[in-house]
Amino acid sequence: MKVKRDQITGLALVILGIVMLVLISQFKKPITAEYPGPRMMPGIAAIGMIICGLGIFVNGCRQKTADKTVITKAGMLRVVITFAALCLYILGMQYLGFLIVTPLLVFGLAVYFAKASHVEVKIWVCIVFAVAVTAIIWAMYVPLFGMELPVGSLFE
Amino acid sequence: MLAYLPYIFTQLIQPMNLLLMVAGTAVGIIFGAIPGLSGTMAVMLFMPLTYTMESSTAVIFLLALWIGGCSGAFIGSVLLGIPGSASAVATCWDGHPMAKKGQAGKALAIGMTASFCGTFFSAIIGGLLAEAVADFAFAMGPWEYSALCLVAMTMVLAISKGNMFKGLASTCIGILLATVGYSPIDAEARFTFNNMYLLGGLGMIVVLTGIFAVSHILVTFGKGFDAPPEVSKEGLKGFGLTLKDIKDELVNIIRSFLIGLGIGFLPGMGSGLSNLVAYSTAKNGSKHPEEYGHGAAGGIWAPEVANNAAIGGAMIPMAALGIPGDSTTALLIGALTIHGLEMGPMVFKNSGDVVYLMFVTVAVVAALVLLMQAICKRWFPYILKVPSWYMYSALLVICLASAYVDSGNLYKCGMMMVFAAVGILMTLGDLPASPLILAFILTPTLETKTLQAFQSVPKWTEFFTRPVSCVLMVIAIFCIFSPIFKGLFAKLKKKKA
Repeated sequence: MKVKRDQITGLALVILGIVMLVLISQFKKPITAEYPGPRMMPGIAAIGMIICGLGIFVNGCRQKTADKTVITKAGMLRVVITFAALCLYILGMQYLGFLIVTPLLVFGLAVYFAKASHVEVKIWVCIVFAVAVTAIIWAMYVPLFGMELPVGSLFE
Repeated sequence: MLAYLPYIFTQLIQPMNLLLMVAGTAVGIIFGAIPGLSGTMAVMLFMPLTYTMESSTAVIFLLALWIGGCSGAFIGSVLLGIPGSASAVATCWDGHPMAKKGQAGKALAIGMTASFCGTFFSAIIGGLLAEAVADFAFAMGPWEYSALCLVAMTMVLAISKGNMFKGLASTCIGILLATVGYSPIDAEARFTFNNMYLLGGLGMIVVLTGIFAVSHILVTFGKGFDAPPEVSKEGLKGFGLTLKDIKDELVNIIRSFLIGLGIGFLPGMGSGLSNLVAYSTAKNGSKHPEEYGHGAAGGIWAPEVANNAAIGGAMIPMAALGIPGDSTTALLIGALTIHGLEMGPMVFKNSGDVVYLMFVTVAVVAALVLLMQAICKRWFPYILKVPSWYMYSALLVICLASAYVDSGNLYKCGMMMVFAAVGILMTLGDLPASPLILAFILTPTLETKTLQAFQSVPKWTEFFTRPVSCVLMVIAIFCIFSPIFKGLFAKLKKKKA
C-alpha cells in the first residue's frame, strides 16, 4: 500500500505537537485554573496540532484516490539547488558583502531559471540585468533610505 | 475629522510623499497584475524600506502598494484568464471571455472603474464609521477582546478550502511561531534555546517573507515557470466605457459594493471571498444569467467593485479594533506598530491625524490608480510578458535584503531560509497559508488580553457569562466546526430530496 501525503503530513504534525508539549513542560511558570500563564497559547497550539495531525492522518487513511503530484522529482531537485544557492549567497555576503555576491547570484539564477525553462538567454543581457538589479537595490536601500546592507567581513 | 484636514493636506502634497505614492501605486499595480505575485507580497517585501521613514510617509507608501495591488489584480484575469490574486478569481469568468471577443479595452475599463468605485467610496464610508466603531469598542474589556481575536482567527477557517484540520493546523503553527521569545506579562523565555536572536521573537518579515515569498518562488520554479504569454493588444485604445454602461449596471454596482464592504468588515474575511459572493449574487439577480461566463459586463463589475469595497470595510476593524480584516491588513497592523501606531480604539485619541490620513490616502490612491491605469492601459500586455527568470531572481534578492535590513544581521537571513523550507513543506502537505498569517499577527494581542483578563477575574467561565464575549465565543466555536455543520446540512438536504 502506498503511503498518502496526508498520512505523512498528519504524522509530522503529531510528532511536532508532542515535541512542543515536551518543551512546554519545561517552562518554569505552571498553568493553573486561576491564571494560565505562558504555557497557555503554545499548549493550545501543540494540542491543536496533535488533534489536527490525527484528523489529517485518518483522512489520509480513508482517501481512496491517488495523490496528485505537487512537484516532480526533477522539480524538487531544482528547488534544492536554488535553496542551496541562496544559503551560499548568505554565507558569501558574510565575507564578501552585498555588492560582490549579489550580481553573481542574480546572474546565476537568471541563467539557471531560463535553462530549466528551456529558454535560451543571451549571456550579456543576464550580466547587464544582474549588475542593474544589484545597483538599483543597493541605491534604494543605502543612499535613498539610509539603511545598511552587508559590506563583508573581509572589507570591514 | 475636519480638524485633521490641514495636516492631511500638507502630508499629501509633500514631494517625497507624492513621489512614494506614485511609485508605490505603480509597483502595486505590477505586483497585482502578474499572476503569482500580489499586493500582499509587495507590502511584505517593501515594508523594511519604511523603517527609516516618518510614520505618515510609511503609511502613504504601504497603502499605495496595497491599493495598487488590489486594483491591478484584474489585469491578469482579463488578459490572460489567470487571476493576479485570489481577489480577482471571479473576474476571470467574464473578463477573459470578453477580451477574447475583441473587447479587451472595455473589459479593462470596467475593471478600472469598478476598482475605483469600490475603493474610493469604501474608504469614505470607512473613514466616517471607524471612530464610531472605536467608541463602541471602548466598552469592551480584555475578555471581549480575546474573544474577538479568536473570532478573527477562526473565521478564516470557515472559508478554508479542503478539510478544517488543515486550516486549524496552519493556525496552530502560526500561534507556535508567534510564541517564540519572551512571553507577555510573565516575561518567560519560550523556545529560545538560549539563543539571543530568538529572545525578541522571530520577527514578522523573517517569518512571513520566508514562508510566503521565498517558498512561493521556489515552489513555482519547482513546478516549472510558464513561458511569457501571448497577449492580444486588440481594442486597447481609448477608455472604452460610456456613462450609459455605468447606468445599466448601477444596481449591480451598489449591491456588490455593499457585499464587499460587509464582508471586508468581518474579521478574517476579505476580498478573496467578497468577489465570489458578489459574482454569484449578480448572476442570480440578472435578467440574463445565461450571458454570465460568456463575457457579461455585470460579471466584471460585481467582483471588481466587491473586492475593492472590501478594502474600506477591512480598514474599519483594523483601525478601530486593531483586528485585521484580511492578511494584508494583518501585515499593515504589524508595520504600523513598528512606527509606533498601536491600532485599536485608543488610536483615534493618540494618533487620529495619521488614522484619518490613512482613509484619505486610500481614496486619493484609488483616483491615482484609475488615472495611471487609464493612461497605461495599452502597456498592460507588456507587464504580463516579464520573463519569470529575470523577475524571480531579482525578487529573491529583495527578500533576503529585506530580512537583513529588518534586523541588521545575516542570522535573520538564515532564519528566513529556514522558514522558506517550512513554507515548502506546508505547500507539499497542502496546508493553507492565510490562517498562519492571521494567527501569527493576532496571537500576541490574544495572549496579552487573555492574561490581562485572568488577572482581573481568574475564571474561565467569564468568557461565557459576559454577553458580548459569549456571543463572540459562540461565533468562534461555530466557525471552527462549520465544515462539520456544512457536511451535516448537505446530508440533510440530500435526504429531503
